[in-house]
Order: sequence, then structure tokens, then C-alpha cells
Amino acid sequence: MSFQLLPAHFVMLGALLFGIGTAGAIVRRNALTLLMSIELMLNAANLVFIAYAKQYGDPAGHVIAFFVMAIAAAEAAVGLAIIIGVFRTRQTIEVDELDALRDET
Amino acid sequence: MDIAVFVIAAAGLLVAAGATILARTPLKGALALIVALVFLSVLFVLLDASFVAAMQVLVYAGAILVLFVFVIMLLNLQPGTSRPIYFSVSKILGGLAALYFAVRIAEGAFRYGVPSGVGKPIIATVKVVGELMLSQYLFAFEAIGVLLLVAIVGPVVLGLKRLQ
Repeated sequence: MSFQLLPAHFVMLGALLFGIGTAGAIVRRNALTLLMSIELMLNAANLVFIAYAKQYGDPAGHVIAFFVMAIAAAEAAVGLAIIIGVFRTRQTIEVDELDALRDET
Repeated sequence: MDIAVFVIAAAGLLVAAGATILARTPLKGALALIVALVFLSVLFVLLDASFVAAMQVLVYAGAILVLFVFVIMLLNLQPGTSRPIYFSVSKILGGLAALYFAVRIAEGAFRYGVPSGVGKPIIATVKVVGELMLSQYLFAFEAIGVLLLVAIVGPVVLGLKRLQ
């Protein structure tokens, strides 16, 4: 019996990719790197959608993957605009330094 | 053959993804992310999703990442203004939690989530995907259109000078 390439392998890869993205979003404090980590997580979801689409023989997963891409594009556009706005007023994009709403204790 | 392609693309994808989140400057991270997205499109081709793979390169690597690089260049961050990576207890715990989460999902997917066996072949041409998008998913398609309109207007409003 030879080794077969199963959708489960793609799902595992998607889980690992999602974990890397999550770790990046938690550990990194640079707003741009944060957005890129979120892109990684969205792409992990896309990979799983496509893997299941192949498993079940249903092209609906491809359609959903397109919607995810469109949402990622919208998210990147708005997020980057916010980053530019923050940088113009604060001269920094480190999210740790954006503490204007923090309770002064 | 398929397995060799999968192993190479998966390894490249994970390495590039790791380089994205560990890059010292956002520009290097963005370039690593482009590499990761191209490897991901290889995996899409492997899964018979050639149209999605083409869109992945065109839209993601071509448009979204160019937007990222454009903003990085526009901000013109000076070296030294960004703080170096530092570690705190909450960050280490968070990173470990993220990796544990990923490993558990992978384990669960392997054991229970996906029926074994090779899937049915699908012919996901542009025609098939487009017909599905404009019939069954028409409402979602229109909603995405509205969302993209908001995503156009929003940055313009955010970019107005008077907000300063």
C-alpha cells in the first residue's frame, strides 16, 4: 500500500498555518505584521475550504474561497488606512504604545 | 509525484509563514508572505482548484501584498524607531496556546474530521464556479460588492486631512 495524499493532510497543514498566524498575531506588536498574520489565518481557512471542496466534489468551497479573498482585500484596505491614520497622529505603529484608552492605574 | 509536490510546497509554505511572523522589519515580512502565498497557490493547483490558484497569485500576491508594500514604503519607518522583539509571560503563554490549538486541530482533523479515501474529481472551471457564484450565492456576491464599496469609501474618509 502506497502513501496517499488525503484531504486530511491539507487540513493539518491548514491548522498549522492558522497556528503560525495566531502566534504571530499574539506575539508581534507591529501593526503591519499583525495584519499580515491575519492574512495568514485567512489563507489557512481558504486552504481548508479548497481541501473539503475536493473531498466532497463540491465547487461551492471555491466560491467561498473567493469571498474570503474579497473580505481579506477589504480588511487590508481599511486596516492599512487606519495604520496610516494612526501613524500620522502618533508617529508609531507599535500597538503597545497606543494606550490612550488605558486605565491609568 | 503529487506527494513530492505537496511536501515541497507544504515545507516552503510553513517556512515562509514562519519567516513572515519572525521578520525583523515589516518589509521582509511582506516579501516572505508573498512567497508563502505562491506556495499556497501551488497547493491549490494540487487540489484541482486552478482558478482559485490563479486568483491567489493575481489578487493576493499581486494586489493585496502590493498594497502592503506600498504602505510600508509610504510610512518610511526609520530603523530604531520600532522596538525590538521582547518577550513577556503573556506573550509566551499566548504563543504556546496558539501552537497547542493548531496541533489539536491538526490531530482532530486527522482522526475524526475528514473522511478518508480519495475524493470525487471535480471540474471547477471558471464557468462552473462563476455560475454557482451568480446563482446559489448571489446574495453573498452582492453583499461582498457592498462591502468592497465600503472598503473603498472608508479609506478615503480615513485619509482626509481634516481628521488630524
